[in-house]
Amino acid sequence: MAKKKTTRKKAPARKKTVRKVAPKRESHPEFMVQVNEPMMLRKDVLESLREVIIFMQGYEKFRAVQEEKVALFSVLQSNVKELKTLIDGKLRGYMPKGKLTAVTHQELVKAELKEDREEMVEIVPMKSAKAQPEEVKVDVTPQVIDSGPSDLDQLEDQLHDIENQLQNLQ
Amino acid sequence: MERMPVFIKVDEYNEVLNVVRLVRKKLEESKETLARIHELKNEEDHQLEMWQTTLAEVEKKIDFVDHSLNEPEQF
Repeated sequence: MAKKKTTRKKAPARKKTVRKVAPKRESHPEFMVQVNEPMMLRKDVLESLREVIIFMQGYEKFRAVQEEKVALFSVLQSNVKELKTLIDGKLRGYMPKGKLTAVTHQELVKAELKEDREEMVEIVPMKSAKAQPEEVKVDVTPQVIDSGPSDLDQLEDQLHDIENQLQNLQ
Repeated sequence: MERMPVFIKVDEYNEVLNVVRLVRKKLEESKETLARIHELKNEEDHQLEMWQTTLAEVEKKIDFVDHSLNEPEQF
């Protein structure tokens, strides 16, 4: 009998597995330390952690508040600028320019009394200079157009200008 | 004559009144904005106080932990 040829399939070569050898640790004796009040310790650590997280949440809220505040500041600034434009640009333009003082009622009464006295004096035959109507001097103050380097300087100049005008009024 | 009241003719009287009305409106808006800023500032102050309290609490707790770790029962 002829031998039947049998062919064996070669089994796939096994991959060599290289075991990683962990570096040897130097064996230290493991000592333990017993802490006092372990429950309290755990509790305190956890509570501290919780409070730190609450702190961080508060920080986010704080930032949002600050952003809102900055936005409101810019709104306020624009409002004040508009007010300045309205008062200085428009309203002031309608008002007369000059050093005119307001007359109070008491001053008016005094002036009338004074005039009456003068009229009585005129009855006496004396040479008296006729009261000449005084011309009201209107000093037109030229508006100084500031061309300063910054808004702050301009505002400072305007402030000085207004203070001078107020002093003149007093 | 020297102290007589002075009358000033305002040609655009209505316009002046409108400007004054506008100024008043802007003033009200500014006051509201400022009030809101004040509220926010109070909120910030409150938050800062809370942070201060929280930090003091955490410090106290960490002191306790530190104390416990530094003075163990058995060493």
